[in-house]
Amino acid sequence: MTQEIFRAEVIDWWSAERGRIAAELEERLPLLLVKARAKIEQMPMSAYVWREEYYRTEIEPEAVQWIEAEYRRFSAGIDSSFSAVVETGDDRHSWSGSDYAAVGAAAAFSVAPLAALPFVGGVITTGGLLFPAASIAVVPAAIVGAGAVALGYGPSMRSWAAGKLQEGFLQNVEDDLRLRVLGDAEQPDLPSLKGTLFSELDGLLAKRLEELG
Amino acid sequence: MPVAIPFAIPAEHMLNFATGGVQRYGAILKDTTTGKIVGHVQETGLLGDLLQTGLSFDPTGATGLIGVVQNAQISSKLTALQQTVGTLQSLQLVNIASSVAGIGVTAASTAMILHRLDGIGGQINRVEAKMDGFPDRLRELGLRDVLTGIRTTLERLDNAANRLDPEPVVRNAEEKLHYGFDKLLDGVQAVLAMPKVDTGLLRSLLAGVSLCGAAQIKALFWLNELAEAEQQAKRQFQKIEALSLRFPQDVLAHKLMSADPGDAFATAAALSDDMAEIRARVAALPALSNRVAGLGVHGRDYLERLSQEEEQPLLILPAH
Repeated sequence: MTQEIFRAEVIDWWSAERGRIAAELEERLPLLLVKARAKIEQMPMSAYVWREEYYRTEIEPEAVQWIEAEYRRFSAGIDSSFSAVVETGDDRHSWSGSDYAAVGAAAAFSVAPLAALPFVGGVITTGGLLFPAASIAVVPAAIVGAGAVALGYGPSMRSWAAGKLQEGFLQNVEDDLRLRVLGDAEQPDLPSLKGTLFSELDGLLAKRLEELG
Repeated sequence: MPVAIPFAIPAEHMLNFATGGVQRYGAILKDTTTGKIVGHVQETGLLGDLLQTGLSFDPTGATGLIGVVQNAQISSKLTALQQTVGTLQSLQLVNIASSVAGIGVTAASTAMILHRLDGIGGQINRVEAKMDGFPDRLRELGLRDVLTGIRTTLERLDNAANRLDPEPVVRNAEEKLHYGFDKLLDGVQAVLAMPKVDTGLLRSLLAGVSLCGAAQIKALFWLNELAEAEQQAKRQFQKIEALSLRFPQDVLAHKLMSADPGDAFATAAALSDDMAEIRARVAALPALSNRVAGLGVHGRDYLERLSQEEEQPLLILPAH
């Protein structure tokens, strides 16, 4: 076949995979957010004093586990679909097993240690969004409302204030998780699961197009 | 004496197709095991004739290009057509027939192409009539003038055979169609740069790109410039490839979010399918041009053979 047909086929694959990943991540992100919400709803009020610690011990492991599982799942799909595109058996353009292992999906997806992936390790706290100036002094004041003025109000006011605090924390956590999974189109350099998968798709496309000439 | 063209009829490939041994990709049939081209799918004038009487251009663009034909009148004709030619549905005949972009070298009549151009003009009118109208970039391209120029060119091309010396007319037309292809492709990029992408206009312009490109290749076949047809098809492909790399499916979906957040991914997938089909069809043209040249067939004889075919809406030109 002519190179144009091979090029068209691999672009079909790349475009469709990027579309699939974007759509599926949008669909699946709520599953992670539900987990995070459940953790926050179980969060004792005292934990708000050390929200960062609670996040690291209770929410972060769940998030990392979920993201790693999604990464593996998508990687397997990419690996399989890419193989179907390149292994066409054409004399000039088929990738042999060794070529594939050297430069193809196998190298990109099986060898890279998950811990080295940018979205897996650590907590992204862009602009202090997740833990903005949390301190012992600030949190009790927040719980009772607007400081000293609110101290005279009863349990209902404290409950309202606690609810607001929980809501704010939940929003911050969700924003952070959304960023780690979907990234930000306006800030493409921020690491994310989608960005990493897209980079790998783009890399495979570039290698294939370069090979085809 | 004209060289015989070794066309096969699609039915000869049906068993292989049904068992998965071959599959259609754009305008080629390929061996699923080896990936090699088995044959070139080539539309004939009969396909155009069958469609011409009932063809209507969908103003939304939703079925105007490659989507499944929903017009009941056309569908019934195609149903009858499928019955006459056997199991062509597995070759996605409905999808093929709904397009005038050309399977192989286009055999669409000038009247049909002009009809489609009118539909594109209608889309431009619709967008211009909206409150926010055309963005400056799109206005600067003068798409209406471009369409008028293409229309005039096609009409001159259609009448060229009546002239004592038709070749200069066809050469001039080929050049103008090349220009029209580039301008409409610029239009596609301008639409994609709009804050709110108008999918109807986008699909229409994509159809226009496809029409112009197909008509240009047909003009080169008429001139028997088969080597140039091969090169020009490669250049068309490169331009479509560059557009495709800028706008993969996820980027299209992101762009559609502001206009239609609910269906952005589904609409982007449909648009991507259109682009993929156009890509695949153009990608097949260099090999087809090369094959026809290799057979020693004069390009004009090839076109004549297609226009005179009365029994088969599609023919298969074996690759070897």
